[in-house]
Amino acid sequence: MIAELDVFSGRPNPTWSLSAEQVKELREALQDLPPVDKPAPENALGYRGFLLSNPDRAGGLAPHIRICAGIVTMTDGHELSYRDMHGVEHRLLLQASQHGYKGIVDSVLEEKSESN
Amino acid sequence: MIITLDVFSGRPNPSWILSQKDTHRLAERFSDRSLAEAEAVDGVLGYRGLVVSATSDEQLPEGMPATFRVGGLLPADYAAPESALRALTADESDDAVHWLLSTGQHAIKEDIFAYLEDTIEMRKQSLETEPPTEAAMEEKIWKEEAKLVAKAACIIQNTAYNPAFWNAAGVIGKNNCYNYAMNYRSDTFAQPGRISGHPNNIMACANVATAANWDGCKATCSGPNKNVALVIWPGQDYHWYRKHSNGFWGHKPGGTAARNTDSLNRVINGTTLTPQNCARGPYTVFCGYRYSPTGMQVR
Repeated sequence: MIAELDVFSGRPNPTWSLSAEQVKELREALQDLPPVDKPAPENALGYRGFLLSNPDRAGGLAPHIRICAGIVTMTDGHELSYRDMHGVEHRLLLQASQHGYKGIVDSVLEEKSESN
Repeated sequence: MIITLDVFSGRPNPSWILSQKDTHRLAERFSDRSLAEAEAVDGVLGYRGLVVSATSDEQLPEGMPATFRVGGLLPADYAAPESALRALTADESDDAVHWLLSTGQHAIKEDIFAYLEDTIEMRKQSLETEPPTEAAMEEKIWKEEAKLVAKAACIIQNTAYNPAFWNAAGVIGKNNCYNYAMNYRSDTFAQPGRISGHPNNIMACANVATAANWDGCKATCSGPNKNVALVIWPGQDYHWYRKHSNGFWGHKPGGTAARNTDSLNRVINGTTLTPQNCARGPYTVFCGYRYSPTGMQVR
């Protein structure tokens, strides 16, 4: 499973492979989530959440998963959206920080706290 | 449609965009005809015909391929692909070349024009008994190229807004803001400087602008160009906008959809809202406006 921090316009987005442990944790955190009506928001410039590429359908999850602003949208032919009850977005932000993108993560978190 | 006169060896070839009226005339001449591929040419010095191609996000006239060549000498070993369509006759091809050249008179310097008329006529009549030496030919062409580049008047050719082209499934994820602004689909998530061999990874105005300058996107306008604008997220990234024919600005943030609205969902109308004063998220630095030549390619 590949995680992509969807944030840039010109440069390619940062991506990294999830370890088996991380895949297991995410799999559990993405199960049995309460559905919501609208998909994860599509912002334009700047932070747009995370994209998970899951071609092997690990954990029985959809091949394309988008997480932004507390909403998880899973696409497998059709699109279904859920509330991010178990902090998947936050875990991915931590991973991004660990992969060298702390500056971006800090500005995202700062923006989130300002709008709350 | 973009017409490119294939004539130079060092400088970029002159290109110009056809008016809507001329695009209709183009369709009348070439739709549903068997046409030479753009690469089908003998690589002689000097005039090699004209290449007709769609701008990346243009809607093609019916029965027209996205790119083809008219005029020029075919390679000795060229084998035309099988086609049920009728090829152009020699007279039709000559007539087409003369007409295409007439549509580009504003983009072609007079002495180049004279050279083209002479060359085409000589080849037609096979009157070239003693071909000029390669050195003499190259010197003549370099002199003409220098004159052309120095004196070409600025012609702004902004094209229509066509987001559907960029938002199609096979295109959207592989083409970014730079592809969109320069209007060239490369499917490589193009980077300033990459096609010209001058890649850059410093996210500051001067560095990104210089890299793009190497690719052909300049601070000054010479010949047919479109208006573009560059902004920077300091230390992190760059973003480009392109102006459209009805005055508003479009852009494509990374692999997301092309749009004409800013980060507050307001149309960047080119009057009250421009790339300079619209909402741009973290791209806080406005570097300035630039000119991207018609037909400019990126990778």
